[in-house]
Amino acid sequence: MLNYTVRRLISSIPVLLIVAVMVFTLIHMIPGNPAAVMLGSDATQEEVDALTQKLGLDQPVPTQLVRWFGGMLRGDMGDSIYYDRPVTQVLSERLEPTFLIVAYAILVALAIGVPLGVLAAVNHNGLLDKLCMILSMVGISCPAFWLGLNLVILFAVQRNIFPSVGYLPLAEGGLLSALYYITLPSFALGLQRSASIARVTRSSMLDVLNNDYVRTARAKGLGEFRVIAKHTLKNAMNPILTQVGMSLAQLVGGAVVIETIFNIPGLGLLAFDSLKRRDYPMIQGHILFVALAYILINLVIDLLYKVFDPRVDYH
Amino acid sequence: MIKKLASCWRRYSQVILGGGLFLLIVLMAVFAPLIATHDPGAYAMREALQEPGPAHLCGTDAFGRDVFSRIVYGARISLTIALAVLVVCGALGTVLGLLSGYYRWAEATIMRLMDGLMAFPSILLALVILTVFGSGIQNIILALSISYLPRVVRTIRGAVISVKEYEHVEAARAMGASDARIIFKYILPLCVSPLIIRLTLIMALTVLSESSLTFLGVGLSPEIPSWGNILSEGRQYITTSPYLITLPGLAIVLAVLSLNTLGDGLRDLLDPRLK
Repeated sequence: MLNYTVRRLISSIPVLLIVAVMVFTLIHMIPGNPAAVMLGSDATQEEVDALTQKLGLDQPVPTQLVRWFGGMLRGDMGDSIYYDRPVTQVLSERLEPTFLIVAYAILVALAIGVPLGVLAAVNHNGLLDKLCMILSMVGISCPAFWLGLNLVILFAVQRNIFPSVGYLPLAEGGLLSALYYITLPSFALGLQRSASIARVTRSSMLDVLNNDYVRTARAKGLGEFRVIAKHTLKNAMNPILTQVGMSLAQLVGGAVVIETIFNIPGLGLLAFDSLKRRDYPMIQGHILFVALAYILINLVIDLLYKVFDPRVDYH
Repeated sequence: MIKKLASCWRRYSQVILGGGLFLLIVLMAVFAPLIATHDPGAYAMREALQEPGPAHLCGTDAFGRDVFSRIVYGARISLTIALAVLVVCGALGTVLGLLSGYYRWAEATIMRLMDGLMAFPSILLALVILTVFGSGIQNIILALSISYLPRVVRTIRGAVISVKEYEHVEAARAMGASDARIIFKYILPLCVSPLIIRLTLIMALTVLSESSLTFLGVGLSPEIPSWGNILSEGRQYITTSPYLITLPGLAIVLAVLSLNTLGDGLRDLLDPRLK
């Protein structure tokens, strides 16, 4: 397994390099000088020129790319133009709310999606199956930001149960307060993801339910709950895991919309604000971080396959 | 007869339901001037923020504009963008997918590039592209086409890899057919089913993403009555006029639902192995 992990990590380096070059090229095509954006409309041309030179933005793009790569190899993503601090430091400060939202959302998605999928599979072609699948199809078709706004209307505007915007960091209010603040955005994301998890759970369960060992378990007189939980669901887990991995990767990147709506100071809002501010190093750092997270999440999911199915061979 | 109809319904229900709903939305977009009850851009400040009623089926916004008429016209914008992304992704994705599936030399370059694009979350990639090129219908089409291109390329490449091993392709090769003839005459027709399924689902994703981007204020200029813009403007009045959020959102949900149902139905019909 260690060999496989190392091989996967090495094979992801070219992808990261391609992403890095693409991000760098794209970001430098953004019209407008970040130095001018930073200094505002009152700045003189001399001030803008001086800051442009200080930031190295007057250098040819290939030179900037080489310098950036050099820094990356040393683990230095450069300094944010807006925050005037290392990109890695700003990213790590903004990681907490995004991490909590993604974790909370995936738990919501699993808590709703897996039972719904199991229920549909067990009642295959029955009324419950059709109802579950209609629900999941509607769920997949709902934009997360619209779900979020409707949750705000229901639970913040009409009932005042949850806050409509903002975030209280762990250090200031503890875990429960942080979770309280991110409940609505997490449910908005989780409800949408639960729909695809329910569909995958259903189809994976249907594949497994037809196996001989499930029939044998039933013939032995095992209770239906045990047959489903121990013999069926466990063996149906790998496709569900794949879907969870895809959902996690999409949630990390897709947090930008929900964090902007709920004004949560996470990585998504940081990316959105950095794009508006033309903060090149910050955007580059953010996208590379998300790409790395995408690769690592997929790797972890691949490694988890063996936990549920010992037959998986990593050679 | 009834048995036949029932069996037909069982087999095609998703395609009929999804396709029917989508057709209704297309008709709504095409005949928007006949269906809309008011001019979607006409300001009437005296009628601002009126709740849904007989005079205004979906109420009015902060400028007194009729929300129902804006939703009807919004279908034109969303469907135009979705259709354009479908054409761009379909054409470019098919060519790149055919090349990468058939030629090993092309695979290395094209697929690494696609892997790189896939590692970007699509909404973030679209955001960056829109920041580079600015907002507007053409740029949103470009941004979303680039974001969804890898999915089409991968689908076509996967199909080509298996089809090129088929006996009829080998026979054509043995008879001295050129690569172009083999690709377009013997391989491409067998890639059409997965392509149709993939493109239907990409249209659904495009409607979702376009509304998200426009909602964030980076997609289309605020004057355009797109569904995302209606929602974005309504957000300020979420406490007093929640219908400005709920009703335009329902239009998005119905459009995406119709395409997802149609895509699912087509998949079951054209590729039963994936059911």
